Amino acid sequence: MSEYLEIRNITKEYTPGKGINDVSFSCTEGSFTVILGPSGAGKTTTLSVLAGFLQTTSGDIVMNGHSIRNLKTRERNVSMAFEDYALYPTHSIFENIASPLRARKMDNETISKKVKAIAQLVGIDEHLEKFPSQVSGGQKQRTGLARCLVRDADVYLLDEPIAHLDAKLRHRMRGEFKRIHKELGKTMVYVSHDYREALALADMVIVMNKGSIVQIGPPEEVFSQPKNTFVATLLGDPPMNLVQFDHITVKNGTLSLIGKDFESSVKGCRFPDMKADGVSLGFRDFTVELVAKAGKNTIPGSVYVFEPIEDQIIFTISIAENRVRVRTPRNIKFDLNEEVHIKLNPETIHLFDNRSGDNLEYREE
Amino acid sequence: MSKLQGNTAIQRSEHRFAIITALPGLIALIVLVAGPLLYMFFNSLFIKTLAAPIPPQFNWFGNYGKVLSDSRFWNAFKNTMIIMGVGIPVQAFLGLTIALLLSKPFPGSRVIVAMFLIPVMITPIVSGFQWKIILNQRFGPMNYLLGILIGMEPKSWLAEPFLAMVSILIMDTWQWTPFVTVVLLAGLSAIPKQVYEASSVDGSTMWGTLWRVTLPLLKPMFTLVVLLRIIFIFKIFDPVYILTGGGPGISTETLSLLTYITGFKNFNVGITSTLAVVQLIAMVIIAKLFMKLVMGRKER
Amino acid sequence: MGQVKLDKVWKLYGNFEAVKGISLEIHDGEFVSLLGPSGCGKTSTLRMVAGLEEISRGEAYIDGVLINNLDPGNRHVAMAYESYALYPHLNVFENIAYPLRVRKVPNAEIKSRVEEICDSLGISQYLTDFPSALSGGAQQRTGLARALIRPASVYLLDEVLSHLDATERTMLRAEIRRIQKLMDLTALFVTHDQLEALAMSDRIIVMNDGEIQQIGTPEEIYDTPANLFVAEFVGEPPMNIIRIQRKTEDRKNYLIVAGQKLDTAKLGLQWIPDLDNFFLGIRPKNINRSNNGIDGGISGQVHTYEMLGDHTLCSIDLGNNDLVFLIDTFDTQLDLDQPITISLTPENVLFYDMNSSELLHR
Repeated sequence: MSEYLEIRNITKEYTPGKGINDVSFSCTEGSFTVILGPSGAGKTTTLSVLAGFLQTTSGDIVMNGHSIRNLKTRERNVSMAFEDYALYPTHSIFENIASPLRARKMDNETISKKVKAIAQLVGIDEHLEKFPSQVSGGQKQRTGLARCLVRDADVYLLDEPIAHLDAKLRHRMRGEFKRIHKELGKTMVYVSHDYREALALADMVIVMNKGSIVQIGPPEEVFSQPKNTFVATLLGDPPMNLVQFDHITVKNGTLSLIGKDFESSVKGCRFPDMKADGVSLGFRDFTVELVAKAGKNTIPGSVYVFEPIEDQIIFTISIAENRVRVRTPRNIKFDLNEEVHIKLNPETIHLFDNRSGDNLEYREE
Repeated sequence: MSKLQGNTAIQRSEHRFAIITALPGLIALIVLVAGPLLYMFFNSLFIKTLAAPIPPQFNWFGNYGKVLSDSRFWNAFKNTMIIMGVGIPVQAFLGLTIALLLSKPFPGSRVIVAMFLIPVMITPIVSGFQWKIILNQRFGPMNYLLGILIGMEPKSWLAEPFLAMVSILIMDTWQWTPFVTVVLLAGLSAIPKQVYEASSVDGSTMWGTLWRVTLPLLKPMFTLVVLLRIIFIFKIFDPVYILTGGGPGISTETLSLLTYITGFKNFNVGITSTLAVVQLIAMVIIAKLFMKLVMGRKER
Repeated sequence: MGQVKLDKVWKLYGNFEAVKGISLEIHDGEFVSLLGPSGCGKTSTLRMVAGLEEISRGEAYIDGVLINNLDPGNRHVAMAYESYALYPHLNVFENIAYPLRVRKVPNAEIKSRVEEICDSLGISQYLTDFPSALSGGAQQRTGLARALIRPASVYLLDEVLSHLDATERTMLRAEIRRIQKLMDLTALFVTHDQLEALAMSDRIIVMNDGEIQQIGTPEEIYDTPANLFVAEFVGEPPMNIIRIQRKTEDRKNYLIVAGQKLDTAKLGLQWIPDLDNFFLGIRPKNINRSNNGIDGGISGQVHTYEMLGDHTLCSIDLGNNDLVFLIDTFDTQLDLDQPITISLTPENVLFYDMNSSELLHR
């Protein structure tokens, strides 16, 4: 196998209900992996196990063909950036970045050269003489990042490195990260709770929840082929719409939806023939249209509210007990409580089991 | 599995460190507080005096019976209750009024608050003598002022039972109202300004806001300060000792003064300890009753 | 009835001018947002309308009545607050009932009105809870219910969504707008979030530095920002502002953009300002990728790009580190430093003066 870093069935137990359970994934050399999940998903625990801060209960970590499970942190040659910066307040920005090199007894000239190069890359080179208390949060975060990247490590572990920045700066850093990764060409594992970071940066996304991996795949795949409702609603703003139905059948590509007080059908679906009770129909806000009259592939609803945003309008539509959001161009006009129909695109709809949340397509396979 | 086992080595050693550093304090607390308390209770079970060379004699709860049937004890208890029953409402009302007046900053309000703290800071002995002079029948400014203002005959403040009690109350109020004020001021400043704004936009009048918002929100602080005053007055000693010495006769004698006299004038260790224990129990009961009264209302 | 009128209203804190003589009108049944960064004077303005701040100079009217000297309780305004300002010692029911209790409304009526408003705001299950036990969203719903429980000429909403998490915020945003429309309420809403202002308002008043920058419908504010401040404040990612030099050769007009000479005729621009230097403003959504080498295109290199699910956001280096953003479909295949040519939708191009930073008109 050409896998550079392999995590095999890692389990780490703390107190019951905390920790990670049977986590396995692998990263190719030079790849960018994002572990995505809400707080408490076990992302940081996974990273801490990789870094060697935590001992695993069972499982193995293999780097470059060698097990590193029993190695101490400093023997693993991993470098880490922390969510809360963890800068030394008594050191200048330069010395903060230089600290991993000083610990390795490099000569001053090499240190100076390396620090300056990395500082320029992350865009903190103008503040090297300052102290952490004199720079902004974004600059602190960059400093922490530079300190992580300045030395030659086998793997770089990044724990929510831009989470504390404001929206505009986060957006900029997201873009910069892509360049930094390309220029260094190193293997990176990045932890985040923001789906945007995962989509924008990752070669491979690992979605975690409650200590277990839910889905692994390239960004396009986890976004457009979510394995269950958890993934479907974790990614996207607004999250994927879900409409509950009592009963569905698929026959020859025609999906029949039976709800409490209405029925609809969608022709030309990719789903295999099936019958199921308690199913949610999932679709994203930008994949459907709003029309005034019932027609092919439409489901009925009424306008709960509409909000113009930039050059679009976001309609919130009530469908029985469900509320869904639909994005339309600005020229679409409907009034409050007006009856409308949502025209579905058979290519981009999903079916989920109400009880387990699983995507029915995955189950059929 | 125990909780500690799952934690990292760092957390385990931190836990140990916390216990070790807290230990000296805990030991000191046990030795200095629980020890004397137990010794006092132990003494209260004996007939024991330092005035005569008689060996201590175990007497079960005999001392308690003696104390509780002694009219001098009940006189002291009554006097303490009078000071409490009159002093606390007066001080609470005055303290609240002044705190409300001072709660909105105005030029010089900080100086006034600082000056208010002076009575609390002055040594009780000093303020006691100061009041003794003020209340002096012949040359005290009190009689002089009252004579000028309302044409009152000079009174012998400290020699008449009723006036002696009034004098003690005046001094205690003078000494402790500022304390009540300062605590309530802290309570007032902790009420978010926005709540007042909301109330004014909601259409409430000043009195309505005071009644519906300020006082309910001040209640925890108010409870605290009244409880502290109950405890302090139970132990009231200096004004009584300095101004009246419990006199005339025993008309202003309080529990702590009685305890003092029994212990340090009559050297009756057994009875003194008994008095102290009874006082402690009575104080706990009264404080409990008060808290129950306050809490009970909240639940409804 | 619900009309608000401010006539050259000032707010002075000592020598500091927080609000500098602004005039505005809010009509009956309108939802108007005061939008601006922190310290722009929007909250001071709202508080002057509420009566929580004195009006230093100028006049304010509600329903035609001069309110300068009226107490907040007599202005027929109701208000909801950023940090909720609930009465901590009262449960949800009593918090909402407070304005009615103050007005000595009979108990039976209070009960039915509180239950009705709680129902429409989805907090019926919390009636006996105290504010400290509630989530931020439920606390703010309680605050809104307390404001909506009684008829008022104008409802003042002070950053009511900013302490909520993203999901709660979008939900409550929609619900406030729905209730306001259904009940035909007049509302003045203060926010620093341009998205909220665009989504909820009939009209937006953009403020900065104590002065009004622009008043208009969300469409007007978004499509034709009156100056560079509004242009950069509204829209995410913000409007691209590109420095332009104009040259005329052979009676043809050329624009110099980051060293590239572009023929205005080929760009499709109907009009350009008669100035040598100015700014060009264009929203990322109105920039398109065009095939390499096409006339009227600006070329650069992909600085970085982000796939964001339904679209891809790309920043382009035009040389001199000038970055321009482009929004493209989500399936875009891009590489860092890849050469790229972009074209601008001519009807969406705006021009701004370099000195005054005002929008330039034909």
